[in-house]
Amino acid sequence: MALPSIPGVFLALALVALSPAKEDPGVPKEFRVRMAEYLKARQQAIKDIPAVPAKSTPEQIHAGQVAMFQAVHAMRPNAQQGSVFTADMQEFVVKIVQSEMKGKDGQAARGTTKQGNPAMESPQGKLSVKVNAAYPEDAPLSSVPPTLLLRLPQLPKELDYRFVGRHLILRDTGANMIVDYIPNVVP
Amino acid sequence: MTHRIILFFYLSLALAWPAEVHGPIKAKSFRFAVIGDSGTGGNGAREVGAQLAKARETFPFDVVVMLGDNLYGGQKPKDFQTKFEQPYKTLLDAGVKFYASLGNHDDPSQDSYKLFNMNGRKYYTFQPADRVRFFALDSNYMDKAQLSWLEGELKKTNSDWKICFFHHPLYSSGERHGPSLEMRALLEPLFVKYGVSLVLSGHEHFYERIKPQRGIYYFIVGSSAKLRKDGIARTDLTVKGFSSDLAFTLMELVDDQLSFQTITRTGQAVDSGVLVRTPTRE
Repeated sequence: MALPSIPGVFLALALVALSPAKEDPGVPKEFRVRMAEYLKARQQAIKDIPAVPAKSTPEQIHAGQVAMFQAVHAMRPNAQQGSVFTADMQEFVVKIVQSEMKGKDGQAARGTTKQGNPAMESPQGKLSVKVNAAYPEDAPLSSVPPTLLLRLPQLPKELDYRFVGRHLILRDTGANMIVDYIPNVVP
Repeated sequence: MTHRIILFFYLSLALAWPAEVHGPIKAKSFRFAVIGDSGTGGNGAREVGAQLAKARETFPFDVVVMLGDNLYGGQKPKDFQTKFEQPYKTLLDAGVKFYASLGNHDDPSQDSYKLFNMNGRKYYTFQPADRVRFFALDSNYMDKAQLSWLEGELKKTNSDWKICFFHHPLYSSGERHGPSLEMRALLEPLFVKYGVSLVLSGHEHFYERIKPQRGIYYFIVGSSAKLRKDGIARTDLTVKGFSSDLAFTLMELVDDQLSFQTITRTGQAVDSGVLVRTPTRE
């Protein structure tokens, strides 16, 4: 069987990337429900916090982030690992990550997760990952392989995927808080 | 004989004496400066800031683009001061506008910092002069939304000079990081299709000018505060590599020509030239 050429693979990747966004039918429904619930509760929790202006001082940015963290953190004191990344969602994500990152073909993607990854680059060294905890202020944020982002369910602007060590975390971008994580997802 | 000796002496001196910043080719051209991986707040960063301000006396510019890693480590209010506002105080006081892109060491909340002119957006576009449009991308998180946005913006602009800048280089001879091949697979087809002429990146802590790829000029300017000496591997990609000292790059656009000069923190020009824009729309 003839293997596809590298330019062919790149072309296919580019075509996938540029095709209109479609909701992946494989994404577990329960994950979407939990994410919607999180966003609704979040909106309620931060309703009295003034939005950080688009042209802020560093003090305004810092104050906004602290206030938002306190509000979002307080709204879910009992949150645990798996509260948003449901079991079937974890399985769904692990399959995608493994297929993107396994073996020699996944070398570039694995390398990308190490860039900015606080477990590799932070002066604090290894960081513990805890649900509902603040993402450490001084720690860098990992890059996320674009090929992976094209396959994972697209997130609203309030959330993003990042890597800490081999764990995939779901981060609240405004509160800079770890919403949930999937442990040891990177092969 | 004496004349020959004197001539030889001056010639030797001219060759040994490092080139310095040269002024603009044309008085009313658009000019800008490029810095990358600049956010240490250390002595080197301050020296680069001072040299950039000095260069502006000879080569006036009102725009600086930042290629990411704008603030290393802490991102508290004092860090904005020590790692950005103080090293570039002279330029900021003179009204020079900085336009930042995010690196892997940057907290994305920097997008709301007024002096980075990102206006709350992690990727954005701006037009500082007629016929010139910049596109700042977030190469840490290149998702579908960003790719769609980029294609939409590239499609609708009619600027001659389309310049993209972002942190991770698509082409690099760096021994530590190397090129971002996945990103290249996604971005290069768009750059080629919509006639992007110039791409600026950092991440690698050195300066590298890459051989034009599919009609596009690529520069890495990632040594404005951090340096990886001998970090450039021997590859066919390099037209000019420099990793012996901290540096920044000055650029001028005159019609279809791009004039550039890369300057060290001590004011030596280590690379310069004129490149011609080649429309690459396919």
